Amino acid sequence: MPGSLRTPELSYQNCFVKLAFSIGQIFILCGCSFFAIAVSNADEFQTVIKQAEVKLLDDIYVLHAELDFPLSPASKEALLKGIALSWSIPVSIKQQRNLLWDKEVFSLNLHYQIRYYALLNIYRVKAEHNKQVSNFASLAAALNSIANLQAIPLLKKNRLSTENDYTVEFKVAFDRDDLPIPLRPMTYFDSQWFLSSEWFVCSLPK
Amino acid sequence: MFSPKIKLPLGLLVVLLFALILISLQLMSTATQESSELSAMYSWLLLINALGSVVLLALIGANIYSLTQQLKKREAGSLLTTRMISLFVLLALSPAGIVFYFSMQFLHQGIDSWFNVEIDRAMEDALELSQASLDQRMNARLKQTQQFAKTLENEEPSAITLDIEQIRDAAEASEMTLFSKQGGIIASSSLNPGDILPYLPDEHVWLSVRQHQNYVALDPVRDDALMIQVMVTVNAKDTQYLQALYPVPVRIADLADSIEFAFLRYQEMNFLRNSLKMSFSLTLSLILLVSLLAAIWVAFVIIRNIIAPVKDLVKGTRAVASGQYEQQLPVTSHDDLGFLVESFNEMTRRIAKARDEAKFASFEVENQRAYLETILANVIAGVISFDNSFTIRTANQAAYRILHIPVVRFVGHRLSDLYTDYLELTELLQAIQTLLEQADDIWQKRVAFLGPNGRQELLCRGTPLFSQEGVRIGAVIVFDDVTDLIQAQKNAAWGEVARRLAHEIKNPLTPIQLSAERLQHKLADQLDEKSADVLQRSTRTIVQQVEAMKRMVDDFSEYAKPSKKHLQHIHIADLIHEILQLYMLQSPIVFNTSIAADLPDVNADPVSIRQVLHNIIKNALEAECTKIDITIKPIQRNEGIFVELAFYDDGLGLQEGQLEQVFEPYVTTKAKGTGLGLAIVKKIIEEHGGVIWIDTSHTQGAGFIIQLPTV
Repeated sequence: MPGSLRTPELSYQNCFVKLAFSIGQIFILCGCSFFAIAVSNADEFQTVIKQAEVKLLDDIYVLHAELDFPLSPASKEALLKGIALSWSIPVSIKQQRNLLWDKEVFSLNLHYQIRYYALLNIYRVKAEHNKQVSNFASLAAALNSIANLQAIPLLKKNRLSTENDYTVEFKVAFDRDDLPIPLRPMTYFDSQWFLSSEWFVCSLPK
Repeated sequence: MFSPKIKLPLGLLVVLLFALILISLQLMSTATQESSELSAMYSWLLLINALGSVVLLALIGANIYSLTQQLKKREAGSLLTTRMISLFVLLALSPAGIVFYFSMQFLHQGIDSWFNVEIDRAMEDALELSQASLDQRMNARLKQTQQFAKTLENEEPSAITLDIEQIRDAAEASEMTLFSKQGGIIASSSLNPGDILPYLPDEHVWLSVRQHQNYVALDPVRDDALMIQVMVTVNAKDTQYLQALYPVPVRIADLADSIEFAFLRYQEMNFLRNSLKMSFSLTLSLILLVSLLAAIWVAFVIIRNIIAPVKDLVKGTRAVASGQYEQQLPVTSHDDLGFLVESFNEMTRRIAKARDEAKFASFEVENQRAYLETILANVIAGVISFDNSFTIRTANQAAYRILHIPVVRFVGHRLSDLYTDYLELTELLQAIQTLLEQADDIWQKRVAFLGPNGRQELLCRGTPLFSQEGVRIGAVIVFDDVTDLIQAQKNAAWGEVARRLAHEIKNPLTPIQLSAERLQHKLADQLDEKSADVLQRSTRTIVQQVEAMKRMVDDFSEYAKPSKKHLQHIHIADLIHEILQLYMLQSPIVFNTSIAADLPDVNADPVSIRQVLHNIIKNALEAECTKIDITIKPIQRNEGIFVELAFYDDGLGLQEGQLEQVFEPYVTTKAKGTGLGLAIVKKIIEEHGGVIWIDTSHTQGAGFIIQLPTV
């Protein structure tokens, strides 16, 4: 059979295959572009750790932190529509090691939830970790109550070795999984829902 | 250690795959419900299913790529596979697409139907109504608290401690607390004796009461119970603040909670309307995508498995077409295709067997042909076969040797084609052709012709060839060169005749001669002169003739007798020169000799060879020639190297009718002569293993060519 001959079926099959490939490539390209655009605008509404330090208070390490919650319009609207917004603040103390990865010697998770009650026109802040509930007449006041972390107890000094070096890490992570299920998928792509902060790392004072 | 590879059946793998997909999709579907325990894992399940789709897409992509490569290479079964896959995808996508489209339509319309302006307004109105009701209650409590605050304006602090309990009771408050201007607790009373500390107002409450003189709000205080928190200014000597907590009736609180919950829920749902649509669409799309991709991938696998036997069949067919009959295909199933494969294998086995048998038969035929060819090549007799149109089909080596023509080169030609190149064989070939055309049975004939080596006599036997159906398909002739045989028979016959004749004739000759001499001796004196003269002449004649007869008988006897030869290596050229020297002295004939430089010796009797040379030269002299050209050169014949001597004179030559008999004894054109000269020459040459013939191309006299074998 001469190599230059192409049957109509063969041309049709090749067209089908090429079309399938093209559609797949376009799909992947769109997805990646969309995600890239979303990620590129991620820092606008990110929670900011303005200041943070760990101090020794009565032989107990305590965490002081000043945070900033620049909520996005979408998140504010969601809050006003009755959707609770939650943040987790995982804090960990790690022992630095040269050869192996750092060893976690202490961990603590602070969990805050803000919810708006339309009937009472109040913002309720619930601290899951200590079951404390506070009501505020304004969103700013509610956010302010979370933004100032004062003397959060971490670990007793005598539980750590004086010969090793330790670091403290924490971040403010927005809990997407506490959002209603229909809202969750888009929060991965919409930059207005990128409300988590970067990791903050500092050395533990000896 | 040998560990066998365990291959799960395809059906089981397909079932496992679909079970896995079903479980994954079901989990994701369950996770979409808020009340489900899996709701927290929704994102992960979505991601897992999305990754599953990507994996399936990659698998399908790999399959498509592989199929494309097979299409480009035009591999067996690739077109059929592509066609089946395309058909399956089309059949799968069409209904699935239609169902998906309408499902999405119903989904979006269903979700949209949950929300309308009336419900919106109703929810807002309900909330407003609740707020108005609560506001009304709050205002009433505020007024009530303000009234109670007035009663405390002029009371002593110590009395307040006692009165506050009563005031609280009268107000039906759950807690009442009097604060100083600085915020210190002056007096407090609580419905719950277990409450040691009163409910402390927040900063914003203090701010509000200091700014506006009073504060009232609904507040979910301890245990989330809804309370009306009222704080009013007590205008005593020192400014004081009276806080009262009034419980909202459980029913009202429940209704308020219910309305708030419903309102918030509706607001949430309204807010999430688009997200809900997108989420459900995404879930549905993912379910459709995963299901379709899994089905397509499984289709690829199953179709490839179905096509595999067809592929094998195509490959097998190509192999058989190219001559590989040993091809056997594996039987992987017991269905129609399996039956087809088994039939193919049986067919190739039979073809291979038939091919082997044909090969063996061909080999046998070839062996037989080679055997016959060998026999034919080595038989002394010449064999030529013809087809029905008397075209030469085969000829053996003996035919070439006997006829001195390369008959093999004329295979495929008719006998008449040989005439043009070999005119001297025209008569023979014509005779043979006539016999071939006319004979219907075995025939035999002796044919004489003048070949390049002189007169030859062939004993030809021929027969037509018939097929098994009796149709004439050709003919074959077998011929032997009986020239030498006949010549030997003739020579033997002549020798016997000569011997007998010599014996019978010679015996009476001596008495005749003696009697004549006696008569001469006895009667010469008794007769007169005349009679004595007659007697003497007669007696002389008788004696002379008897002498002549004796000489003739002696010559004949000499011819008949085998000659005694004393063989030795002789250089012919030297012998020629020796004899020519004698003739040059005696006769005026011119001898032109051309002798090759590298002439080999011959093994011959020099006396006999001298006789040969003498007889030939004597013949030429008697033919009244003026010159004789003699050429001596070595010549290659099939049997080896010969020395060829050619004698050409310009004498009277030989007559046409004499050519065949010139070497016969007693053939002469001269008045005197026994006619044995050339016969003796031929006899001597043949006794030395050579040949002699007349060169009929020399027409200016007689030409003789002698070939003698060399040492």
